[in-house]
Amino acid sequence: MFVKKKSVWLFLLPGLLLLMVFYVVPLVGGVRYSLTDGSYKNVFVGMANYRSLWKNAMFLTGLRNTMELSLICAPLLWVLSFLLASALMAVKPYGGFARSAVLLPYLAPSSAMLLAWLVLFDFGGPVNRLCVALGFSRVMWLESGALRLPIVLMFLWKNLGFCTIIFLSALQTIPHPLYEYATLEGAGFLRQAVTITLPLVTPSAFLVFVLAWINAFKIFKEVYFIAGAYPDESVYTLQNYMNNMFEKLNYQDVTAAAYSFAVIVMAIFAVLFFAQRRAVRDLS
Amino acid sequence: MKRAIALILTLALLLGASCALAAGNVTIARQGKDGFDDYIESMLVFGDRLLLSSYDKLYTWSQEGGLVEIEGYDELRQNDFDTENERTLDLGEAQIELGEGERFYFNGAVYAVDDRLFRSAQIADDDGVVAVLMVEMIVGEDGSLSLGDVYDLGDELTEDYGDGYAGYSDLSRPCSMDGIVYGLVWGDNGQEIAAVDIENEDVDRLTVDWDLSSGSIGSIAPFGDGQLLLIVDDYNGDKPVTDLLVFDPESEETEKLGEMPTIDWETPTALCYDPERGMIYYTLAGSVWRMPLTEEGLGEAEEFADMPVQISNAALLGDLYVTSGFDGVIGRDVTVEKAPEQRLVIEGGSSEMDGAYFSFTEKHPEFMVALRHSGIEEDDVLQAMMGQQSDVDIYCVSSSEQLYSRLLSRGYMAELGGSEKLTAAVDETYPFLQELCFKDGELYAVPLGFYSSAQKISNKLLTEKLGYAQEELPTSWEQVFRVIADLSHGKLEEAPELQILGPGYTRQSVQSSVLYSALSDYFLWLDADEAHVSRASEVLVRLLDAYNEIDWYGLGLPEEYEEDEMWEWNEENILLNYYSLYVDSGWGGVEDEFTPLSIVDGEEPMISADVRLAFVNPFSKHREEAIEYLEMAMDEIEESNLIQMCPNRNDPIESPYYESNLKEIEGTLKDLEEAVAKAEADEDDEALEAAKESLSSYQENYEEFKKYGRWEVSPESIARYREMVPYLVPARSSLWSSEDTYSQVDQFIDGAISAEQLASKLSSTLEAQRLEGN
Repeated sequence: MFVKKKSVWLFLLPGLLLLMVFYVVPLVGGVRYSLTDGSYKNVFVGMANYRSLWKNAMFLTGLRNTMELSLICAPLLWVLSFLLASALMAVKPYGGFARSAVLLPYLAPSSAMLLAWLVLFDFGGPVNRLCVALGFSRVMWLESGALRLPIVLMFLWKNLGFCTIIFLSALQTIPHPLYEYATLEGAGFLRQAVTITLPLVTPSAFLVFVLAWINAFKIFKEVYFIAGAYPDESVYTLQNYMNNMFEKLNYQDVTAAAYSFAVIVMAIFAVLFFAQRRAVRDLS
Repeated sequence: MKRAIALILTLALLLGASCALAAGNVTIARQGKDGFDDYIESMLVFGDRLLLSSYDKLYTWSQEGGLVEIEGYDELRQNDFDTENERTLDLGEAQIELGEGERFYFNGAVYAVDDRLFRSAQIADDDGVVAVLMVEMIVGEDGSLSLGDVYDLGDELTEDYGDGYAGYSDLSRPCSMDGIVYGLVWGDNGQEIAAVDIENEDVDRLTVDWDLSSGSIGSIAPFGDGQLLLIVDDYNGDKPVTDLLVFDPESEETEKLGEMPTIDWETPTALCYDPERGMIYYTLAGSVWRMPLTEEGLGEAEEFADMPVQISNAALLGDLYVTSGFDGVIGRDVTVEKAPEQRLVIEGGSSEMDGAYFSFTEKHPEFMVALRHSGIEEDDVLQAMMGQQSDVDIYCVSSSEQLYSRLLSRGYMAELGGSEKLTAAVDETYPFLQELCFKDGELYAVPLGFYSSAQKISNKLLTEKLGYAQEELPTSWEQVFRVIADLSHGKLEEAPELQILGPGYTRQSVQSSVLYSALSDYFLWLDADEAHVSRASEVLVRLLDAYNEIDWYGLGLPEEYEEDEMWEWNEENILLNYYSLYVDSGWGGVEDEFTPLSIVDGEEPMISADVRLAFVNPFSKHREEAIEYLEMAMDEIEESNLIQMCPNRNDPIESPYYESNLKEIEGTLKDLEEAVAKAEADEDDEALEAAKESLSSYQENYEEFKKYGRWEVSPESIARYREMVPYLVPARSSLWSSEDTYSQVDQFIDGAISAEQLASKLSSTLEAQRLEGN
C-alpha cells in the first residue's frame, strides 16, 4: 500500500522547476512573441502574425515540402523497417552481428555521413556514373529538385536501423507456437501476418510510425548542409523558413510558424492515435 | 531646524560636487581647436610637467603654465642637416660621422629617463636603417632647447622588412623605470619588450613568457620593484579576454594577477599604475576606469570618468590620468569620488560624434559621455532593441549594413521630428539621403556623411594607347568586358605595358576582382528599384556571357603573386581603377575625370554611396539629451561633407595654409635659383644640370600650386561633383549578401556552373528572400 505524503512534492519540485524554466516559460514566451508585432512599441496584434504567415508564399512552400517529404519518408520507412525486421528474425548465423550492424547508420555522426553522400551524388560521382552506364544522362542531384531523392535515401539510411530494432523487439515477443499452430491449421504467410503478427505488433508499429513521421518532419540539416539556406524550391522545408527567420531575429514569424506547425502535427497524431486504437480493437 | 537645513544643503552641495564633472578634469589640447593643429605622437611625464611631442613640435604642459611650445624643436629635422655634403654632423656636444650614402634624421618619439630627455634618431642608407641613436635634449629654464650627448644603440632596434631592407622598430607604448626605457617591439619570435639602457648603449629584447599566438600585449606600465604591468588581449574566443600580468624583466617570468573586464569587443588600454593609491587606471569603451591592486589580486573595477579621444599614450601626472591620441590630450582627475550619475553612450563612433563631446559636456557637466568605437554586431543590437535595453543612447551605423534597414523597418529608432534643427539639416540634403532618414513622413535618423566609390575605366588609355574613338568608349560593364575580351584576343599587343588592375595581381585574382566589381554594381542596380527584379536573370546572363568571352590566359597575367611588381605601379597603364567621388582641391584636373559604368547598355549608371547615419535609441533614458547631442554633432560635420550632402551649398573652401605654403615654395625656388647661379659660377656642368632640372620641376609644381593649392575645395571640383551626384545610389543592405552567393559566384568563375545556372540560382535565392520578407 502506498501512502501519499506531502513530502512527495519536495522530490518533484526540482524537476517541476526545470520543466517550468525550460519548457513552460519558453512556451508562454513564444506565444507572446507570436501575438505581438516585434516593433519598438511591441504592440499586441492578435492573430495578425498568423494571418500574414499563412499568406506567405515561402511558408506555404516550406510547409508543403515538409508534408510531402514526410508522406514519402514515413510510410516508406515503416514498410522497409518492418520487412527488414522480419528478415533479421530469419537470420540465424551472425544474427546478432546483423542486428548490431543495422544500427550503425543511426549512431554515425550526421556530418560525416553527409560528406559520404555528397561524394556519392556528386555530378561526377558513382551514382551518376551508374546512370551513364545504364544509358541515362547525368543528373545534378545536389543542385536541383532532384535533391529530394538523396534526401529521402539519406533519411531512410539513417533511421532504418532504429525503427527496425523496435519492430524486431516487438516481433520477438510474439510466441512462436502461435505461428506453428497457424501453419498446422493451414494459414499461409499473409494470413499469419494479418491475423497474428500485425495485431500483436500494432502498438510498436504505431510507435515506429510516429517516430518516423516526427523524424521526417525534422528533415532540414541535410538540406541545409548541401544546399544552404535557400535550396531549390522543391526541397525548401518549413525548417528552412524558420531558420532564415531566426537568423533575421524575426521571432514573430518563427514562433507563429512553429505553433502553426505544432497544431498541425498534434492534429495528425490525434487522428493517428484514434486510428490506432480502433485498429487494435478491430484486429483483436 | 535651521541646522538641519544647513546640513542638508551642505550634503547636497558635496554630493553635487562629487557627481559633477570634477574640477580637476582638463582638456589640455584638442586637435583643430583653439589654435592647436597638431597630432601628438608621444607623451611623457617629465618632472612636474607633461611633455608632448609631434613630428616637428614639442610642448610642455602644467596646471599652472598651461600648454607651451618649446622653441627650436622643429629645427631638428632632416632637411636642416646637409648630409649631401657634410659627413660630420655637429649635434650639440657630440659629433656624428656619416658614411657614404648615409643620412641622418630625427624621429618623432621622445623618451625620459630619470631627469634626462632623449629623442630617437636614425642613420639610414639605401638598405634601410643602419643605426638608431638617442640624442639628449636639454630644456632650459627659459624653455629653450639644446642638444646634449648622443648614444648609439646600433641596429638592435631595427627589423628586417625583407630583401635585406632594415626598418626602424619603433618603441610602442614606452615607459621608463629604474633608468631603463621599455617599449613593445616586434621580433622574429613575435611581440617582445625592448629594454633600452640608453646611457650604456645597450638594448635587450625580452620575450614574455605568455601565449601571444592569438593576442597581443596592449599596454605596459611600471609596477615598481623592477617589474612591469602588462595588459594582454586574447581574441581567440567569441569575445576578447584581457589578462593583467606582472612581468619581471630580469628573469623574463610572468605572473597573472587576474582577468580584466571587457565590453563587447573593446579591451582595456592606456594602463597606468598609481603606487600611492595602489590603483591601476585604464581606458575602456570610452570611459576611464580604476581598479585597486591588493595582495589578494584585482579589486572591483569602477568607472569614474569619460574619455573622448582615441588613445595612443597614457601617463599619470600627480592626480591627473592623462591620455593622448590623434584627437587631442585629455586629463582626468583620479581623485573624483564617482562618475557623474547621468551618462550618454554613443556606439559606432564618428568624428562628428567625437567633436560634439566637448560642447555637450560643457553645457551638461552633469553628464558623462562614453564614445565607443568598437564594431557593432548586428545581432547584439537587434537583441538589445528587442529586449528594450537602454544601455546605448545613440548609434552610428552604415546604410549598407542590414542592421540599419531592419531597425528602421521595425521602428527601433526614436522620432527626431521634434527637433527643428535636425529636420532642417536633413531637409537640406539630397533626396537620396532623405529617403534613408524618413519613414512614413517621420524623421528617424540623420546623415553624417557618405563614402562613394565606383570602378572606372581609363578612357585616356583607351584613346591614346589603343586607338579607341570617343563613341567607342565603354559606358557599361558589358562593354568593359568586351574591351577586355578584345585585349585578350590580341589587342593587348598594341599596348603591352597595359595592366587590367595594376601590378601584383595574379590571373585568378583579376578574374574574380573584375567580376565581383561588376556584380557589386549589379546588386546595387537590383536594390535600387523593385522593377529591376523581373529583369534580374536576363540582365545577369547577358553580363556573364560578355564576361565569358574573355580569354583570361590571353592577358599574360602571372599565375603567382610577385611582390617586386607591387613597386612598379604606374596609374597611366592601369585599365580599371577605383574612383571615390568627393569634392577636393581639384588637383589632378582633367585626368581624374571618369565615366561611371552602368549595368545595362543605355541605362543610367549608378555609383554606390555608403551613408553614415546616426539615430537615437527609442528606449534611451535620456532621449532629449541624445537628440541635443545629435544637434551638436551636426555642427561638427565638415564643410566639405556638407557640400557633398547638400545641393545648395556651393561655396568653395580656401586653404588656410595657402599663403604660408606659397611663401615656403617661393623660398625654396629662390634657393634653387641660387644653386643654379653658383653652379654656373663654379662652371660645374654636372651640378648645373642637376640644379636646372630641380628648378624646372619645382617651377612646374609652383604653377600647379598657385592654381590648385589655394583651395581645400575648389569651385571646379564642386561643379564636377554636382554632375555626378544624379548617379549616386545609397548602398542598402543587399539581399544578396550571403555566403551562398559568394560560393555560387566562385563556382561560376571556376567553370563549374554556367551563366544561366548562376543567374537561375541567384534569382531563385533573391525571389525566396523577397518572399520571406524582412
